[in-house]
Amino acid sequence: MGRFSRVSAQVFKNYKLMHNPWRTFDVTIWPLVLFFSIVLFASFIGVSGKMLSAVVLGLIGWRCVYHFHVDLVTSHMDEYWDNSLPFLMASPIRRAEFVAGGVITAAAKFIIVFTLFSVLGSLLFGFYISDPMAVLISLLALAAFGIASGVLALGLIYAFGRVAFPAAYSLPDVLVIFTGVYYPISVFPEPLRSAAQLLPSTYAFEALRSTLGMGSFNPAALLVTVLAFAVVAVLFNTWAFEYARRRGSLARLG
Amino acid sequence: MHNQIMQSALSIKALSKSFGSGSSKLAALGGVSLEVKAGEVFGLLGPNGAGKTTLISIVCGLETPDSGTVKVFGVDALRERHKVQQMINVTSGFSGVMQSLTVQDTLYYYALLYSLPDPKAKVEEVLGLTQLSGRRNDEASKLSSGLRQRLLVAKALLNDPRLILLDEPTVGLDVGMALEVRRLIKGLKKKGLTIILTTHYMKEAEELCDRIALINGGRIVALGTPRELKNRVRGRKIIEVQTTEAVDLRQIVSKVKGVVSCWYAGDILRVEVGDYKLIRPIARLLIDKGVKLDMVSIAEPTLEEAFLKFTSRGLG
Repeated sequence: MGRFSRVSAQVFKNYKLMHNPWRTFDVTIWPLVLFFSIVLFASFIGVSGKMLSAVVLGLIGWRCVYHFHVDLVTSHMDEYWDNSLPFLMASPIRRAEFVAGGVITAAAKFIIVFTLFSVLGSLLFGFYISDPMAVLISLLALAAFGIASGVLALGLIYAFGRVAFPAAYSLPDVLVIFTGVYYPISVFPEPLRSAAQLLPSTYAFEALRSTLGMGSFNPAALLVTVLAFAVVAVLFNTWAFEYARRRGSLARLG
Repeated sequence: MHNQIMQSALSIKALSKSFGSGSSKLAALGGVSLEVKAGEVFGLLGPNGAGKTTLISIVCGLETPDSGTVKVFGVDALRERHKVQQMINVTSGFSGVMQSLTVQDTLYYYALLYSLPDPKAKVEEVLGLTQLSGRRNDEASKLSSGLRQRLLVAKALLNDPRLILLDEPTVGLDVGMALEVRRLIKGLKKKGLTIILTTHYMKEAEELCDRIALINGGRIVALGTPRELKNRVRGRKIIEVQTTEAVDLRQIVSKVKGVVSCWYAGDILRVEVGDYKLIRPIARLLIDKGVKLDMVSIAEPTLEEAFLKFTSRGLG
């Protein structure tokens, strides 16, 4: 009961904050701008059929990472900006419960965006999903990556405070460079290719493309990197939380 | 009731906390020990940076101490943080709530955070208690500072806490609003709640607190009831002088032989003397200088003087 209630507190807060029109842009205007700018350009340069579906899948996959990462960070930052963070931190909520609340909100937002992209892609550009189960598993892996990078970013905020805000927000956008969202990582120069191989998103995007018969993917590498990334994120977050409590910088009352 | 009063609500032993390292290391708390009894309103008074907020932050789990123990109704606050957080609540004049949530949604959010069995009913109860029912649909950002403070008190009451930490609850409020919040705190006191209050307002502390700890430089420098603290500065002999004229009387009065020091407390000149008999020559001198006196009298020591004495701020 207690755990469920505290998780639902976060969902309730995030849901209520969505009443702000600007917040709804996160699942309407901004994804649509992204969708049309990329897909129209792809169409313009002659991409169609299977290739265009791969582009749309890339967009869907990256939006998945984005929502799970940003919703976790924003849920914390909302409290920081409104100066209510001390009250949240002084309440009995556990970090895992806070994260769970953010994950539920992010999942709801992502489902909206997924539906939007799928319907528009299908109606306007012939987008199709050939293996729904494989796509679902790939998206779950990307969601796990987004959650882990969000947990990592929260750790950065705990440990370094305001200095870490830009890094915490831009982390998924930085990672997008090192992961093959729309193309295989074989196009990368060698140092980048090695870095990309450490990221679970690389294997998850390969898995998405493989559903369209474009290359293969390594399920073991996907599983290992997701787990490794998650473990590192949780350990760092735990250390950073206690570090901030020792330094007195977690949330200041006065 | 007797048992409740005797029970220790908060027991702090040898609590130390420092920030920074090496030469920049700053001791925020240097071995603080104190006991707060169940049902009492306990004041923590001290200048800025004295360690009050650090102490409260440790009790509510926002910070960890370097050493020492903290027990809330017998539960170790350092080892069982979440259990203690469920038993207590905190409000601060420097913190806020989610600005775009309504009053009702804010309280419902915190009711869920504290896992209340019937959150809706509890929200209704505290809305009534803090007279916020009529403002339930107002956004927090649109509330006056007084109403916002009332909302914070409402939030602090949601989980029926056994211990409430009120960190400067009337800071920044106008006289009327501060009075309202103090009335609210008095109501909580009547209900038998244990309250720890930090404030910079001496009159507020004197009015509300059963006992007060004066804290300075991370140490408790005096502890007692307001009367006991005032009695400790009773050795000082103070004469009060008031005039409506815009003239600095300190220059004149300090020349009287036997005057130890003098300073203004608001528009009243307070003169520390070696002997109360000096009241006559002081009054005479001022009259001779053409000062129109409204009042000259022997003053009772105030909590402010006790504060200044024990925090080594000096007077004048």
